[in-house]
Parts: sequence; structure tokens; C-alpha cells
Amino acid sequence: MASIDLGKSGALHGAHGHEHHGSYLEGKGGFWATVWDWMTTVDHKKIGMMYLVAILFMFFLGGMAALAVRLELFAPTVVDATGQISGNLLGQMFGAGDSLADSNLFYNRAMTIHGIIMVFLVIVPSVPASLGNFLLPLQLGAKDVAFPRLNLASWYIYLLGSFFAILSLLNYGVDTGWTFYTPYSTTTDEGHLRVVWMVTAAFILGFSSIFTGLNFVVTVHKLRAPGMGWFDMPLFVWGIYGTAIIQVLATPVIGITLILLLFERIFHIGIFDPRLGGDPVLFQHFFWFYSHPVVYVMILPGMAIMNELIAAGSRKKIFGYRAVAFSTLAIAGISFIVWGHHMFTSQGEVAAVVFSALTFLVAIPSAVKIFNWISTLYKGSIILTTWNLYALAFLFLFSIGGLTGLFLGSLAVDLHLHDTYFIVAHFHYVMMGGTIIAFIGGIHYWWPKMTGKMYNETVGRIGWFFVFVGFNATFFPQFLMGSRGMPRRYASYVPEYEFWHQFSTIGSGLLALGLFVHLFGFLASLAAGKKAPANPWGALTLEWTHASSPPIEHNFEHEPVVTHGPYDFDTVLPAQTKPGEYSLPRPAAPGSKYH
Amino acid sequence: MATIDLGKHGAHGSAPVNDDRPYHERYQAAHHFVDREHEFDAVKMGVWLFLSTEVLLFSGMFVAYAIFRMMYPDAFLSGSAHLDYRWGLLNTVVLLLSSYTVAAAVRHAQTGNQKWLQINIILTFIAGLIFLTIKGVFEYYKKYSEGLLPGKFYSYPYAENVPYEPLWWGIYWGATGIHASHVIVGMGLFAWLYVRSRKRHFGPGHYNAVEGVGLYWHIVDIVWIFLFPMLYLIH
Amino acid sequence: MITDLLLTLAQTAPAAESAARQGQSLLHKWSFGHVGNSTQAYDTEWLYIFILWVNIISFIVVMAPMFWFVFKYHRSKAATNYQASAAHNTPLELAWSIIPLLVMVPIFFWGFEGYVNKLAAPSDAEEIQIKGQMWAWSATYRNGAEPPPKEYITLMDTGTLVPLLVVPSNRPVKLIMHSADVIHSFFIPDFRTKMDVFPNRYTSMWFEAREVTQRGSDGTWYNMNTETGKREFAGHKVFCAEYCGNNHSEMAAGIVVLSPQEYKQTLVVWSDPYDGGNMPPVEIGKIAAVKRACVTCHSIDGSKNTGPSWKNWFGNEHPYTDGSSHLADENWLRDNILYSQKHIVQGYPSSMPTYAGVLKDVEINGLIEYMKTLSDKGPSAADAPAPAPDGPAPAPAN
Repeated sequence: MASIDLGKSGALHGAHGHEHHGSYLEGKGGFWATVWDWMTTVDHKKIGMMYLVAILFMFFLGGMAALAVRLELFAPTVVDATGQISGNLLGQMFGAGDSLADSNLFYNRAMTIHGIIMVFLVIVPSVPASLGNFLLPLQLGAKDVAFPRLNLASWYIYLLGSFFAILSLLNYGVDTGWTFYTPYSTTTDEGHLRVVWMVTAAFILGFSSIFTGLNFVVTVHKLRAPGMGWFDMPLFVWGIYGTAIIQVLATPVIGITLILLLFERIFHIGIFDPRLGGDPVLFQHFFWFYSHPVVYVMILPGMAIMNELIAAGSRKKIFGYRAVAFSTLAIAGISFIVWGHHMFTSQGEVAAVVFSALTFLVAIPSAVKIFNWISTLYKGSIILTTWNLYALAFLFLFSIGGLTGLFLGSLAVDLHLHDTYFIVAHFHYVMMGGTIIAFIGGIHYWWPKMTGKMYNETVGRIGWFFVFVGFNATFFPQFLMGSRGMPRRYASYVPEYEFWHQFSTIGSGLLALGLFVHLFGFLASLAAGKKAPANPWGALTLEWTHASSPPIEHNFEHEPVVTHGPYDFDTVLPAQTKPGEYSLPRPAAPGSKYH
Repeated sequence: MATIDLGKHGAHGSAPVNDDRPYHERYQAAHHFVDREHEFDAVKMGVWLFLSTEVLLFSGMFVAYAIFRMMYPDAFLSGSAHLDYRWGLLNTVVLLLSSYTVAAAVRHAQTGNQKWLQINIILTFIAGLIFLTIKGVFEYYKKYSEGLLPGKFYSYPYAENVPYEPLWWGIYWGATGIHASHVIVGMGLFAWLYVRSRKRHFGPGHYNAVEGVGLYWHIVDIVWIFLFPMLYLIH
Repeated sequence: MITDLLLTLAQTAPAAESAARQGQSLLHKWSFGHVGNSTQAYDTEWLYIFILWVNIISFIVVMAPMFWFVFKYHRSKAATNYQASAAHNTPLELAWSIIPLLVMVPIFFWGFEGYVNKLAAPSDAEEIQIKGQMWAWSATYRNGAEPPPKEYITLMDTGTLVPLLVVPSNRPVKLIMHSADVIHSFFIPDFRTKMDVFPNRYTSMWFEAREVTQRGSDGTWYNMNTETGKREFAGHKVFCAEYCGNNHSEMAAGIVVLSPQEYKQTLVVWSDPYDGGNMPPVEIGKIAAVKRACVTCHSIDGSKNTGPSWKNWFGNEHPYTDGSSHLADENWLRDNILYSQKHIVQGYPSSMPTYAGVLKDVEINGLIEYMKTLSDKGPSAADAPAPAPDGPAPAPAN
């Protein structure tokens, strides 16, 4: 049984005061010098951390918009015989309480802002830009991504896009829905530039996404450490690689779509405007040709994180490594040919049938991944840290999210469920129950590596509990409302849905509470967390075995040479910095039946 | 590997201060690459990926063209008749020649022929300028003054009342406009290459930028090769 | 060719109907509340419940081992650690790839069949024209009848009036739909179907409603729900399911299923909402304001909505976006109703459709007379001269 001794590299961190080998987090002289260093850094770790902070801030904004949506829906809007409006909580908050239309407008804006921020500014960049940036070179044993300056450019392009989105937001935002369906999006809110700004924001963010994806593809191809073949890569890298390919190949199409949408809105060129001979369904095709693959840009990184959490959390080789790797590529490939399933109520019959059949195909590689993760648990050594609880929560929630997709892929049932709360519940179970849950788990898992501090496990578990319970309380009732016919994007509703809406709103409060507990846990860790050892979880990927916590500026003291697979827990036992504290199982004694 | 100095961490490695060799000879790959060939491979792959995004961007425009041509063939015929294929042809020739000059520029960078490298960069830049001049003065301005504008702004006084002809102009201005913006970006890149080539940055050992911009310019040409028959020739 | 094929397939619909009618399972009750009321609804519900069982069984198949493994192989149980186990198992992996695929084949096929059944209407179907417009549905029957405003109902607590559509029972009804502005979607939850409605093309859907809607005890289309103490619509709700702006959630309608005889009689009555123009113009105006959906944007009590309120609008000067201001007299009102895009009132969007060729003269006269009664500048109702109902229409201004 080989053993890698990490005692030294753990001690290296700050211990002998060698200037070149300080942590990447170390300041550069004065305060402004440090700020300038971060602003101009080409270090993938610093860029990843800046992304992480920005994305979490955007997550906060989008979450506030979500709470606003749930608040408005706590009670149906009522206009009594004297014309007095009540129940329009959001409208009253923004001083539009005396008019039904104005008050609905605020709901529509809140729902649009929630969608746009969460999709374009949070979930699409979330894992790849933050954890991906931080970890990809580390896990490959590289010193940086292939094009560090392009990486910095992506970051500033992201900021520029966010700037336009916030500019629009500060002017009360837009009410187009995040999908920008024409002709509504080209005619609403006449005389204002808000929609133009928002579309510009989405267009600019596309560039950020393309450059990040391009950078990662080249990094994976060209910068693997000596000895690391394609099938020696951690599955996190495989997931990010699949994501990057989709980002590069799908984003240009939303680019041209948004350009044409801007032309339509500003110059009225007519391509999407039926009054000028254009076709709104063409917009939907263009839009979903990008936005369906992007669903997998959102979920593949979540699955990528899952691989690392499940393996480290059960100290076992991922079951069927190659199947998981290939299913990633299969999902990426199929994602390009199923966009029409968003349009079963608007496109031709033959197309709908073909898209329905193709849609069922994508279920297979997703199911394969789930089965492989469950099998990985078998005979493992499972630890219930916060991040592994999140991994288990992912399995629970993503299973529901994936299985309910069967209803929607089936044409006859979809005609009933399309554009109802069933859809809302389904994609929240996948996007939030999948990606965001994995993201929060991933942040906990890599927190010691990124910050050099341990988080408090009790606080983490309490947060997890509220997030898990709150999430289900928020979104499960929405399945029931949806199958009973509650349409989505409604500012008010008929009284029969009131109970479930209130249930859902209370759930969203619990969910928010859980997230704030995590925020508290992270801030407390930064302020007074225990110093993290190099490899607190006993994981075997290079960022744990060959880099200190936090890593030095150039990642590794010596270029790593890969001698074992990322999940060879059977044969490799990494040395522990602090034995006992994060107790790892001892290897079975030679000759015992488990050896 | 071990010879690379990690002391300073710019994206590009820097050479010892007192090295008199020209930049392209003393150039060292960025610190995270093994050597210059390794970096060159990575750059080339990155550029190709970027070009594939460009192709996909324009393919959206081509799909829109194909669909609306199918829906409104009359509008497309009548709109296309306003275009003078001779200007289009001239521009095609200009771009094809520039494809030659940019290929020559790459070749001269490889062989280290600084003088002809610079000349070819300038020639390509001028070709871009001629293209834009023809496009702007003899086509865009003429269409603009005649009112042959997209969608709502269409105000051609002698219109033969072909339904949805404004939509054709939406496609025409959209497609050529996006292409022209790529030409402008390309010219900016050539100006940058010229400045760097004056400083003798490119030579046999290091010509990543020339190669990358050259590939980009070829794509701009190829897109035009498709746009020209689509917009000017098909009847 | 393909349509023929699809039609043939549609005829082989499973005998789900009787199954669905034989009482509700608990799952059905939780999913839908009550049994739907059309041929296709039974079909869809049956497929839904089938998929739901697939979901439940699959979920258990995945979750049961997960919870068991977490319990059995928890790290605290030292003895279980480091048991070597296979890193992959090809037959097992093939099995869990192929079995889900086999399960999905029937789901796809039945979904496909039901979809065709929902799209391909029988040729003898009763046709109804449906128009979507921000934010109201309107319907026109084959004899030109339209739902009369006095029959309008409220579904939402906001009191927004929505049209009541009637359909015959046990007869295929085909809806031919288009939109006047943006995309809408005609969604009838109780019939378990919907279709998008576009501004540049017709779309259609059909259904065959089964049970005749029963009036409530007070003879209206409402029942008293004893649990909530609220009145509930006895028929079938229609929602707009494609987001279309401010009052998207108010864009609804109600469907009641009548026996074929009653349906026929209703259409005859409905074909003449203004009683041949023999009603007072103000009454015609009141009806037209609802029927033409004016009131979805213009309030009559002075409150601000998408458009300016009609309260005190007549006889006063109002500023327009071109900087001018103009007295709202009869001619000016008529011109601005018919050609609504010519002058836009300051502070309001230009979203009002043009009504030239849509409104009948009798309706325009009625609307203007109605607006007069809402203004303190208008003649009071008592001394208003009664204009001739069919009098010549005043020429439009300019």
C-alpha cells in the first residue's frame, strides 16, 4: 500500500518564510498594492475567488427577487366591491398599490429579474467560473489555465455584463421574462432602454462564457501533468470539460439571437416581429438551441462536483469511471438535439414527435450517473460531513427533478403541464436541487483548500437541514399546483391554489434561513476558523495531495507527477496532517478478510 | 522545466535583462507551458475553437436567411435586385487578395523576413480599408439615401409593394453589418500586429499572434464568400 | 400522408376512459383534485398516473439503497471499512442503461398517441374562433354569436370580468385560435390540454367535453364551497399560459358544457347582444366596454390602469406625447378609438389596438355616450337627449 507523505508540503505553508512560496492569499505590501494585485492578477485561483464572491452576491440579489415573488404569491390579489386592492404585497411595497396593472407589473419584474440573474449571472457561470477556475489547473497538476490573461478578460467581461444588468435593475428592471420571447420583449416598455440594457448584459455575459469555456478546453487538452492520461483525470475535470465544450458551441447562437433581438428592438428589422413578416417561433428555436444545451452547462458542473464529493465522502473509487466520463460526453452531445422539447405547444407536429423521442434519450446518461454514484456508496466508508450531506441531498433532489422530466417529455402529458407550476417545480429541482445544492456542497468541500480555514461542521449541518427541508417545502407543492393547472408567471391566482402557495412561501423562508446560516458559518470561519491541514478529507486528487491549504501562488512546490488514479482509495492512503480529528478509517490489517 | 525562472509571474516569461537577441528569439513561453511549441499548440487550438464560435454565430444569420427566403421568395428577389453584383464581386476579389497577403505574412514571420512581413500586414490592412470603403460609400450610403433600410425604417419611394421586402433589408443590413464589424476588428488586429512587427516581435521562434490573426482573417473571408452569392447572385 | 398515419394511430386510443371514471385513486386525487371532463383528459390522466408509478418505483429503487448504504457503511462502523468491491460491472451497467430505455418506450409511444389525439380534430367538429388579446379572450361562434357581456363571470378575486364560453356536450369542439398582439396560450386545465396562440398564424386544438355543467343552487354558474365559504365557478376555467405582460394572470375565461339543445338555443340568443340596436346607447356602451375588453385597460372609477381612466375624460383637455393637448369631444374620441396609434396620451403606453373595422357604429356611439355619463362635463343622465340608435355616424375628425 503506497503512502504519500504530505507532512512536508503541509508544513511549507508559511513555515519557513520563503517569499516565493507564500499562500496565494498573502497580501502584497500595502492595502492598495494588494487591491491592485487582485485587480490585475492572472492567477486562476484569485480569479476563481473573485468570481465566487461576485456569483454569491448575485445569488443573494436573485434570491431576494425570489423571496419577493413568493411574498406576492402568499395571498391572491383581491379587489373588493369598492375597488380597494389587497393581497398585492409587492405592489404596495413599491407604492403601486392602488392599480392592479401597476401592481402586477412589479411582480412581473421581480419574476424576470429572478430568472435573468439566476440563469445568466449565477448558475451558468457558477461552478465553472469559480470552483472550475480554482480547481481545474490544480487537479490537472498545471500551474495555470492555458490563457491566463484571457481568463482575466472573462472576469472583467462578466463584470461589464453584470454592470448592464444592474443598470437595468436599478431602473426598475424589465418585465420580459428571462426568455425574452418575442414579440412581447420587442414591444413592451416602449420608450425605455431597460430591455436593451438587459439584452446587452446577456450578450456580453455570453462572451465571458465563451472565453472561459475555450480556456478550459485548451487547458484540459494541453496542460495535463506528466503521467495523467484522459482516464486518469478526476471526474470533476471531465464534467467541466463537457461543460466547456457546450459553452463554446452553444453560446455563439444566443449571441446572434440577442444581436438580432437588439436590432429588432432598436431598428425594427422585422425578423421576429410578425407585423413585419417575422416569425416569433423562429426566435424560440434560436433561443432554445442555445438555452437547452445551457441547461447542461448548468447541471454538468453540479454532477462534476458530485463525483468528487461522493468518492471522498465514501472513500471509494467511483463505480464505473469510464461510464461516468462517457455519459458526460453523451449528455453534452444529446443536449444539442433536444431544444424543441421546450416548444411542444408552439411548433409543428412532426418536429414535436421527433424532439420528444430524442428527449427520452438524454435520460439514460443521467440515470447512469445516478446509479453509478449509488453503487459507489456500496461498501464505502461514508462520512456525513456537510458536503457529503449535500451530495446525498443532490441524489435525492436530482432524482425527483430528473424523474419528473418523464412527464414533460411525454407529449400528451406535456400539453397539460407545459407552462404550469409543474415545470417551475421540475426545473428548480434540477437547477437548484441539482446545481446549486452541489455548488454549496462543493464550496464546503473545497473551503479549507480555498481559504486555508476549516468551517464549523455543526453550523454547516444546521444550514443543510434548513436548506433541504425548506427547498422541498418550497418546490414540492408546486408539482401539485402544476398538475392541477396553476399557470406559471401569474401575479395572482384563483383561490383553490392558496393553501399550496402559502406552503411554498413559508418553505422559501426556511430555505433562505438555511442559506443565511451557511453565510454565517463561512464568515465565522474566515474570522476565526481553525487552520486547515493540506488534506483534511483524505482525498486523492492533486489539489489535496500535492498542494498546501491554501495553495502557494504557483500551485505546486514541484510539478506533480501522477502515480495514482484520482480515486484509488483501495491502494493509496494519504498521510494525515492531524490524525484523529477528521478520522479516516485505518487500512484493514494484512490477512484480515477485508484486506 | 526547471530552467524556467518562476521569480516573476507575468503571463509571458521574461528574458534576462541584458539579452540583446531580438524579442522573438529570446521569447520564452508563459510559465505554465513546457516550451514555445507547447504554447504555440495551445494558442492554435484556442484560436480554432474561437473560430468555430464565429462560424456558429454566422450560421444563425444563414438559417434566418434560408427560412425567410423560403417564406418570402418574392421579397428576396426584389430586394436582391437592388444590389449591384459588380461591387460585391470587386469586394470578393479584394478579400481574396487579402487572404493571400495574410498567408504570405504568416510565411514571412516563419522565415523571419521582417520587411515583407510588415509589407504584407500593411497590404492586408489596406485591403480591409478598401473593402469597407466600397461597402460604405458605394453600397451602404446609396441604400441609406434611397431609403432601402431594414424593417420599420424602409422608405423606398418607388417600392413595388412586394410584401415583406423590408424584412429582406433587415437580413441584408444585419448580415453585412455583422460581417463589416468583423472586418473592422480585423483591421484593428492588423494595426496591432504592425506595431509589434516593427519591434521585431515575430520570427521563426514566435509568431503566435500572426498565425492567430491570420486564421481569424481567413474566416472573415470565408463568411464573405458565402454572403456574396447568397445576397447578390441567387435569383 | 403523415396526417393519415397519425389519424390511424389516434383511433387506437386505450380504453382509459372507463378506468378513469371508475372512481379516483388517491394518487389521482392528489395530482388533479378531480377527474377531468373530456375524452382526452381521461387519456392524459391515465398516462400521468402511469408515469407517476414509474416515478415512484424508480425513486424507491434509487433511494432505498442510498439510505441503506449510508446506514450500513457509515464510517463509524469500522468493520465495514475498506471492503474491496468491484470498480465496475459491465452486465450491471448495461442493465441499468437498457431497462430505463425499455420503460421509456411506452411512455413515449402513449404520449405520442395522446398528442396526435389532441391535435387531429374530427372533420365534423363544431368550430369556434378564439382570439387572444392583451389581456382578454374573445370567441366567435359559427353563426357570428359572441359571448354577451351580461354573461361575463369572475374567476379571480380581483373581480376581472372574463367571457363565458359555451360548448356542446358529447360533440367534438375545435378551437381555431389567433392573437391580436403577442403570444398567448389557451389552457383548459380540466380538459388537460393547451395550445399557444400566435399573432401570425392560426393554431387549433379540439376536445370533446363529456358531462354537462350543472348550475348552482341559485341558478348561477357558481357553487358555494362550504369549506372556504367562497363561491366557485361550476364550469371549466381557461387560463392564458404564455406570459403576455402586466395582467397575464387576469387573462382568463370560463367554459360551461351545455346539452346540444341548450347550446343551440344559447347561440341564437347570443347572436344579437344589442337587441338589434333597440337598447339605450349608454347601455350598449356599457356592454361594448366589457365585450371589446376596453375595461381591462380603462377603469371607470378614476384609478390608473394600463390606459387612462374614463372618469372625467370626456369634455376635458388632455396632453399628448407629441406635445399637443386636445379637448376630448365626440369627434376626437371617435377618431382616437378607431385610430388609436395616431395620438398617444402622455404617461401611457401606445399599446391600444386600432379598432377601425372592428367596432360597429352602434358600439362606438354607445361607448362615447357611456363615457359622457362618466364625466362631470357630460350631460347628466336625466337631461341627456336620446340620440337615434341608428343615426348616421359623425364623420371622423380631420
